[in-house]
Amino acid sequence: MNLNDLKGLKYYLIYALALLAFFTYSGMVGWKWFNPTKTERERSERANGTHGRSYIYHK
Amino acid sequence: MSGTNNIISCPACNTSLTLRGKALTRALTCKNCGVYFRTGSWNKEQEKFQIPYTFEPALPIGAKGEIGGFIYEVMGVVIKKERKYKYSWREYLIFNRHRGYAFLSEYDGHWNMVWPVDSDPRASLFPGGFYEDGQRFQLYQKYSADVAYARGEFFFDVVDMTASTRNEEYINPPHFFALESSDDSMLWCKGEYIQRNAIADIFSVPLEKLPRSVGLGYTQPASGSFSISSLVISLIVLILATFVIQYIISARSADENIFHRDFTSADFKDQKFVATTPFHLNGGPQSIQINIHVPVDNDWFFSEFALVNETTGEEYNFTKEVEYYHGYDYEDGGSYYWSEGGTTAEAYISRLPDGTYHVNIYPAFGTTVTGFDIAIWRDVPSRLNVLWTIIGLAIFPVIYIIWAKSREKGRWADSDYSPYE
Amino acid sequence: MSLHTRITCPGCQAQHTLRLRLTGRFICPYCRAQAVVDGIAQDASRPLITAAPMPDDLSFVQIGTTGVLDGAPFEVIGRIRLQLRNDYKNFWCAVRKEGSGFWMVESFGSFAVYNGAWQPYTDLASKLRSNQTIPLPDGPVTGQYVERCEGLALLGELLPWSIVEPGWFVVQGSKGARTAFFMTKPNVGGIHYLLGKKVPVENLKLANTLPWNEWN
Repeated sequence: MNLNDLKGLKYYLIYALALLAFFTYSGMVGWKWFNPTKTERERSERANGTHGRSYIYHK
Repeated sequence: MSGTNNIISCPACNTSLTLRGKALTRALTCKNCGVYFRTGSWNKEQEKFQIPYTFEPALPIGAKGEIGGFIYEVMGVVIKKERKYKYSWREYLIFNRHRGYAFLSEYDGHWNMVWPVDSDPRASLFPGGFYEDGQRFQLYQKYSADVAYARGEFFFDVVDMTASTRNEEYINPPHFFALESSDDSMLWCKGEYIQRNAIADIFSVPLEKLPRSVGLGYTQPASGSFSISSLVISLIVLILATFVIQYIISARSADENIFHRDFTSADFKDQKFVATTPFHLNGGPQSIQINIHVPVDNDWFFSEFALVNETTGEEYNFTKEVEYYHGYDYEDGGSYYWSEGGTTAEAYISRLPDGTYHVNIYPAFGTTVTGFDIAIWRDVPSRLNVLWTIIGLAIFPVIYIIWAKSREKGRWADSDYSPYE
Repeated sequence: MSLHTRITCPGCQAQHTLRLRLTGRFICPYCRAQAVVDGIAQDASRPLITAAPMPDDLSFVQIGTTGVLDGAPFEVIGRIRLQLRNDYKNFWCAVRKEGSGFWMVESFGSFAVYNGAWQPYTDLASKLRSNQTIPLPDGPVTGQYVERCEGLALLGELLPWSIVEPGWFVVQGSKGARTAFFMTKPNVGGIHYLLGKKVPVENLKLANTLPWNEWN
C-alpha cells in the first residue's frame, strides 16, 4: 500500500470517514439506526398529562 | 559504414540516408523506397513488406516525449504478426542515450512500455509462473512472431531477431515480464501498462490519432488507481476503528437502570393503564431501553406504551407484543416438541432530549397471564449500529472486488494459460 | 609500459605520459597511431599501426569522464568499442590515482565494472550458450547471449587486451549482479573471460560526461 493507492481510494476513504463520524455521533446521542421499535411522536395537550394520545400505531 | 561517417546508401535505390542513431543503428528502412536492410556485413538481403510504406504509425518517427524524467525519441516502428493466431500489434523502438532503448507496444489501443532488464527476474518459481520481489507473475502467453512491416532505424536486426526468437510473457498487471529467447540469446524485459491518454500527452499527439482502446488490455489493471489489497487493508483498518469507537462509546455510556417494577392486575384498579414513576434524563440527548418480561405460557400479551416528556408534552407512542406457545406435534408415530415466541420484549427509543419522563402502559392480557415486569435503562449503547457501519464500509469493497474479479477473468479469455479454465 | 613513462607517438611525435601501472596499448588521440602495442613502445624499427576510427555511437561517456567506484575516484583514459551484430560494448578503461585500472563496460545505458585481468576459461566451450549454466571457479553464471564481434575500435590508453581484430565471438553470462564476459575465436587462442559486477550508473557518480540531452 502506497501513497498512490491512498490517492486512488480517496473518495472511498472520505465516505468511510464520514460514515465513522456519523457512527460516532449516533453513539454519543443514543441513535439506533433502523430501530425496530417504531414510535409515533405527538404533542400532548397536557404537558404532564397521562392520556394525551390521539392515535396509537399498532405494529 | 566506418568511422564517424553516419551516412549510408540504400542498397535498393541508392538514396543517401543519414543515420539518426549513428553507429548504434544496425538495420533501417529506406525513406525513399521503404526497403529494409542491415548496416553490418553479415546479411546483405533486403526485405520488402506486404504492408505499403505509406502506412502512418500513430507515433511518428522522430517524435520525442519525456518518460520518467528522460527524453525518449521514437527511432522505429514494426508491426509484428503472431504465427499461430495471426493477430498483429505495433512496437515502437524508443531511445534515450542515458537510459538506452525501450519499446512501446500497442495492441487494441492498449499501450505498454517495455525495457530490457539486466538479469533473470525469477526469484522463485511456481507452476506457470514466478515470483519477483514478492510479486506473483503468471504466464499469459507464449508465441512466435514475424515482422510484417518496419519503418525507421533499429539497434538490432529486428526482422531476424523476431523470426528467430520465442517469447513468453508473465503478467501481474500493470506490470509484466517478457522473455525473448533463442539458441544465441536470452533477453528479459520488464513492462508496464501506460494509459492511452498518457501516451498522447507524452508524445504530444492528438488523442484521436491513437487507436481507440478495445476491452481490457491484458496488462491493464482490472482495478482503478489502487490495488485490491490496499482496499482490503483499508477496510480492515476501518472495521478495527469502528470497534475501537464502539468500545469508547460503550465505556462512556451510563447504561443505568432508572426504573424497575412488577405490575399485576391489582395495580390497575379501575383504570385501563398504569404509569411508571417519573424519571429524569440529563447530560444531552440519549437513548432509553425498556425491557418487558411477561410470564406467558401458551398465551399472549399486548400493550400500547406512551413515553411522555412531562416538560414539553412530547409523546413517543409504540406497541409491544409478547407471546409464547409450545407443545408437541404427533406425526408418523413420533412426537416433536415445538415452541415459538418468548417471554420478553425490548423497546429502544433514540435521541431523547433532557427532561422528566414517565411511561404510560395500556396492556391487554390473554387468558391466563395477569402481570408483567418492566425495567427501564437509560443511555444504552446500540450494538447494532456496529453491524450497520461494517456493512456500510464493506458495500463498496465487496461490489468492487466482485467487479474486478469478473474483469480479471475476462482478461484471461484470450490466453492459453488462463487460471480460470 | 608503466606509470609516468613518457612516450613519443610514432605517427605525429606528440608526447604522452602513461597513467596506468601496466599499459597494454596506447592509441594516440591525435593521429590514431598505436604508440604502445602489447606493452611495448613502438619506434621507427617497427611498422606503424594505425587504429580504425572510433565510431560515434551516442554514448554519453567520453575520455576524461570521471567517477567514483567503491569510494575511489577514477578517470576514463581509453576506450575499446566492440560492434556486435545486435548490440555493442564500450569497454572504457579507467585509472585510479595510484595507477591501477579497470574496465567500465557500457551498453545502452547498462553498466558493469570488470576489475581483474583476463582469465583462461578451462571448461567446455559447448557450455558457452544462452540459457546454459557456465561453470566458473567462484560460482556459475547463466549464459545470456552469444554474439559475433563485427568491428573493434581502440582509443587512448588501455589495459592489456590481446584481441584487436574483429571476428571473435563474445558470450555474456550473469547471475544476479555478477557478470562474466567471454571472448573466443574458434580454433584460435582459447577462451578468456573477465569477471565483474553490474553497477547502477547512479552509483558511479559520473562527471564530465556529454551533456544530458545532446543529440547530434
